[in-house]
Amino acid sequence: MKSITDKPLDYSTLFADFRDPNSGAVVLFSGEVRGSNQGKSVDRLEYEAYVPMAESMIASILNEATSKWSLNKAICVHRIGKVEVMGCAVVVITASAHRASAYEANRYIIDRVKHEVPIWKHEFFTDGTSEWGENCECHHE
Amino acid sequence: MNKEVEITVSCFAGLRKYFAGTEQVKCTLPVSCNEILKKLIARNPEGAVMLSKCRIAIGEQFVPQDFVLTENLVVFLIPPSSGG
Repeated sequence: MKSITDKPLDYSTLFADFRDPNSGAVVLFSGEVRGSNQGKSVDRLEYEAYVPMAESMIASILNEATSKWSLNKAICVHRIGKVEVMGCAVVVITASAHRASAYEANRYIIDRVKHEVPIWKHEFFTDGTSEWGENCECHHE
Repeated sequence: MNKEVEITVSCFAGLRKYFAGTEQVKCTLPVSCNEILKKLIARNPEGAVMLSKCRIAIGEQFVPQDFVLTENLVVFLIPPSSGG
């Protein structure tokens, strides 16, 4: 499946595909758009990606995580285009026999996607200003 | 043999505060990515700091700044990621 989409993310549907008799644990992370950042009120985000490279890098990260944690299944889907406050920007779902590996792999995947994959957020504030994000804020999470 | 070309440089995200989404840079092959960056900085010195934070990709592969182009390929300048 494609990892970059300009369509709204429906995590209920994505999650339903993870039902599997071999998976005792399914972890879903959803990155959502906050209504404020750095003391400013956020109107919306607009995401941009270098799509071919983002697709291949996410596929590689998912393969690596699947192998490292013996996952039954893993996906990461990231939005491009406009995402409103409380909208879903990225979903990572990991499934494994037991919860520890599903949690760890999920964290590993989202951290690498945020730091390495060529996807960028453009924050638009309610005061009319806008700013391109940088991943330095990830260190505080 | 040296060859005059116009290299296409693709600029993403915050880099477009300083450069167009697509810049054409006249060069003589072979040319290093460093040389191409220097020509962009000459075009807009205010973009130097942002350029210094960018990774460089040819196609879908990252390359080092001293990578030498021996043919006319598109250079992608990749600012720090901010997905999620």
